[in-house]
Amino acid sequence: MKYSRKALAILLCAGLAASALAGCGKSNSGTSENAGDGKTGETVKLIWFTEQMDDVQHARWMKYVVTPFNEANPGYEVEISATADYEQVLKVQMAAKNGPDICNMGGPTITSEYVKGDKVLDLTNYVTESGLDQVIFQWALDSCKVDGKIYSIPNSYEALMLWYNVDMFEENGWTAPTNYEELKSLCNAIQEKNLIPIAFGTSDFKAINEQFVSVAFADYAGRDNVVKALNGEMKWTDPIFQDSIDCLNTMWQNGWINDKKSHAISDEDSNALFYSQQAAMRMTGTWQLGTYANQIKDFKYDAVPFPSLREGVPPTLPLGAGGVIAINANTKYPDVCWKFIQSMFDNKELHAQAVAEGAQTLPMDIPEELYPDTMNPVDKTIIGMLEETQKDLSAAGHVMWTYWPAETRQYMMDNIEKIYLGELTSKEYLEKTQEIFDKELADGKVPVVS
Amino acid sequence: MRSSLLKNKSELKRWAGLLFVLPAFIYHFIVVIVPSIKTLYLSFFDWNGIGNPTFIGLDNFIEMFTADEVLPVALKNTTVWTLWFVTVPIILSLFVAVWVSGVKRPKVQMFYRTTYFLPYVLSAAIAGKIWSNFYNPYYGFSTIFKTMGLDNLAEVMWLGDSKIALFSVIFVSNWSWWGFVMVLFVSALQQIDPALYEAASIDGAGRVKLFWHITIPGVSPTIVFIVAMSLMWSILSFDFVWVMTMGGPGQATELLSTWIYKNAFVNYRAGYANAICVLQTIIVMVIFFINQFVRKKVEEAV
Amino acid sequence: MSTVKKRGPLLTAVVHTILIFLAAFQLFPLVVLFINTLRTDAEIKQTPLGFPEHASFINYAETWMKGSYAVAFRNSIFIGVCVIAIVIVGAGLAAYGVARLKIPGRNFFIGYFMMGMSFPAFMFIVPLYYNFSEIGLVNTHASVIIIYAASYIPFSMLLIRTFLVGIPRELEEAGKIDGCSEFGVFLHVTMPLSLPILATVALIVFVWCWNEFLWANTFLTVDDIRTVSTRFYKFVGEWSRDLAKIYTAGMIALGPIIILYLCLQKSFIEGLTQGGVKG
Repeated sequence: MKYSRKALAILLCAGLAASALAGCGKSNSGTSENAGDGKTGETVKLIWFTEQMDDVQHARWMKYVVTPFNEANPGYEVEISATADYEQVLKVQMAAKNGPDICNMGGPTITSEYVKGDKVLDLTNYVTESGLDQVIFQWALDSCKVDGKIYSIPNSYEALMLWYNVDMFEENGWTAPTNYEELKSLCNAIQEKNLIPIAFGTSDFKAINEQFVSVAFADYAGRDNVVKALNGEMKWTDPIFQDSIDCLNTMWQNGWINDKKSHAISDEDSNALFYSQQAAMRMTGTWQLGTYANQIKDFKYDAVPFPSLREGVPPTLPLGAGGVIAINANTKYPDVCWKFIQSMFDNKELHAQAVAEGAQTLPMDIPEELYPDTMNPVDKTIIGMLEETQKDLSAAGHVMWTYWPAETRQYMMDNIEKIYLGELTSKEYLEKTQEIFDKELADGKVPVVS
Repeated sequence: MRSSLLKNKSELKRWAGLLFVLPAFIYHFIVVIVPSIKTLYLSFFDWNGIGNPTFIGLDNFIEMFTADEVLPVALKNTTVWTLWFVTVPIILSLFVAVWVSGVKRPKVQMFYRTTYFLPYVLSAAIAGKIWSNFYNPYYGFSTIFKTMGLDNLAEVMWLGDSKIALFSVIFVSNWSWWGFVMVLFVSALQQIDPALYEAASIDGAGRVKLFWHITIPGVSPTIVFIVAMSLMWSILSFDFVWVMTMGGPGQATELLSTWIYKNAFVNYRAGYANAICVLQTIIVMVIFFINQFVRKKVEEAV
Repeated sequence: MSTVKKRGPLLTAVVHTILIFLAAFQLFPLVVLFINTLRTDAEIKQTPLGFPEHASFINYAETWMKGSYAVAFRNSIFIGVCVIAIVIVGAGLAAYGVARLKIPGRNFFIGYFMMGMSFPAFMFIVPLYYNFSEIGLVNTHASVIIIYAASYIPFSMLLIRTFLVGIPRELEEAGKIDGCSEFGVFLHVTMPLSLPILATVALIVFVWCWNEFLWANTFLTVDDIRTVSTRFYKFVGEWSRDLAKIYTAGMIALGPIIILYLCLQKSFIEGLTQGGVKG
């Protein structure tokens, strides 16, 4: 009894102490809590809210972007605030009329939701005055327009590609496919060797499904039809799109796409299959460059555009903004925030070094000679290929995460698996897609597509 | 005169008893309920979760019952999930709690109790990843089944088959959950007066009889509480599905909570998500009233 | 339990087999997890399950340092202790009031907390974030302490109430005859009797605080004040994650819970062997 009374007393005291100490964990570096005014000599802290990053990424951003900016702009200090599930956290913060000064977002369609809530700044004037509209690729900047105004700046771009195991291909006398027939005979040859043709896994992250849908649309329907459909001049129910989905389904049913198991394994598993040479190819985006360079030591690898799936359509690289960067409408220092964003594009040499260390490329032209010689040659070729596409956009497709509005996207990536599993037909799938898309198009949620 | 004063005094005492409850009540009300009301109110709006909601009356609710094709699937899956969690883990943990409490050596007993509870402590993100590995058709359980010659089982795609995926996730969630229920039962068992058992055994009651006539009545308030808790929390269940299948393949493991999350955070339709939240709350309320009724019956019986 | 007939040897064997089997079943994934923490990230990425080529504890040291777990542990323990204190006091008083006193609206309160137990976080996260940022609580430990305590009070209160309902009233009546006040009875008779359940509540609440992710991730966005549950994200990059360190982080987070469980062992076992009523 005595013992327990003591325990209770301790707990009660702890309760009192807790209420007294409640404020002690407070930290000044909270979002948007600026420490003072730049002019009075105190340093103004600007929060740059980003997706979760590991130490290597963090160090790279600090070295090539943040520190140079802070040194060039005394009185201001940009601080990276990397958070898990950052889009969800950002949404809560912004909805609560709070939030960081500068924020990364997953893509332009997401920014358009913030525009609807008047939460992000109109950057159109900044862009034209600074001449950045001449620097950033036109298609990338266009995708960031909402009602003709620019609200976000694309801070990386990426493409979906077909990666393959060069050693394995040489050993077996295979070559990278450029059209459907070649893909077919290649996949059959790979399957005869009891290997998986294309590694692909979506069980833990459904958004990955949209990668193959993007590829099917780009390489079967072709970019012109996709542009028409996104602008509302053509219906998704058009036979050409239905055939695209059917073609994708055929590839899946043939076992080319991860042996009909893509829905049962995770993204990391599919990488593991490629790493361990159980799969000859892998379909994924150029964001894997850094990861593959670190991980793949046992064999040579390379990437090519996914083969054309229909005669008359060139092998197309579905392109998209990897992410965008926007400015909080509530920030007290919009000019400084803009200056920071602009600084990323200012020094091409610095940026080329960052890319050589594994950063994603900004959507602007970077002369090849700027890349250091130490750069991984595979990375160099693939980035070269991306830049080549810029000269003639007829071989550039569209990735869903940049161009498709949120709800249509969600429907398409959740339900494509039902087609694979025979629970839904491509006709029903595209009818429902059209229904949702019509609604979102009317709401102005579809970005400018060109 | 005297008696009314006494009455007043006891009446006053009765009201003074409120002082025990009110701090917790007011605290909870301010922190949880007041903000929630605002959210419920926003279910009548077209709102992307960020700003500038527009009032649309009952449109969200009409859509929910007429146009939403996923909601029925989510409700069905949530029902299956709930039925599992109000039966299997509760029965399992009740028996295990009784057996574990009967283990005489304190060290061994503590070992069992800690072991059974540990999975509940491991974060769902990591536990889900490990179990996804086990379910992997290339290197998981299937390799074990293959070496045992059970080719049929080795072929199964635990997370890829629409008919099995939900149960695969339930199984993992169950692995994590039942140890927690067992902890609650063990503490309820501690309360039963050992003298009751002794008296009954002297009367010649066997083990089965002791279990039904002393153990079960002794823990019945706890059982009712745990059933209610399981019902309500099953409806909110989210973690393992999100980590392992994200509702897939197709919509085979979609739950009410994952569908709410997808609407609120992926589709940017927070107003609609709130409307589903309202539905969720109504379901919980109905369950609650049924439970309230059962609880009174049981407690009267005890 | 001396007079209770012993189980037959066969039955005892069966029961023990089941218990051992269950222990193995519960532990197996944790053992696999542990083995994976001894491997390098590249190994795990290549073959997700397997034995280490060169077993090494280096992951533990690196995870601990890079994840600044020392700070995270301090933060989480501080939060956990504060929440336990508030919950035990608040829920304990409320449970006593509802279970023992004939207060008006008893059933309303039980019903209210039952409902309160099942409010999804997404219902109140945005308005609460707004309120908290207005009064400057965002990025303080106080914010999550307030939220956790409020969220865990309903469950704890109902659990304690369920326990109190089962305690014979005679003991408390005796206390009253001895001249104790209502609060005195609560403090000197009821609470000590409920020690096992309070220990259980403390354990559960601590585990919840320890593992809670959504609130901690939203309200604590500065590294110095982050909790254990959000630290493993330190090893998640934008496109790839360091699985070896993430697994290690999971193992590291388990440690304190095991220790806490063993510390609470005394009150658990005491309650068990003596029987709660004998106090």
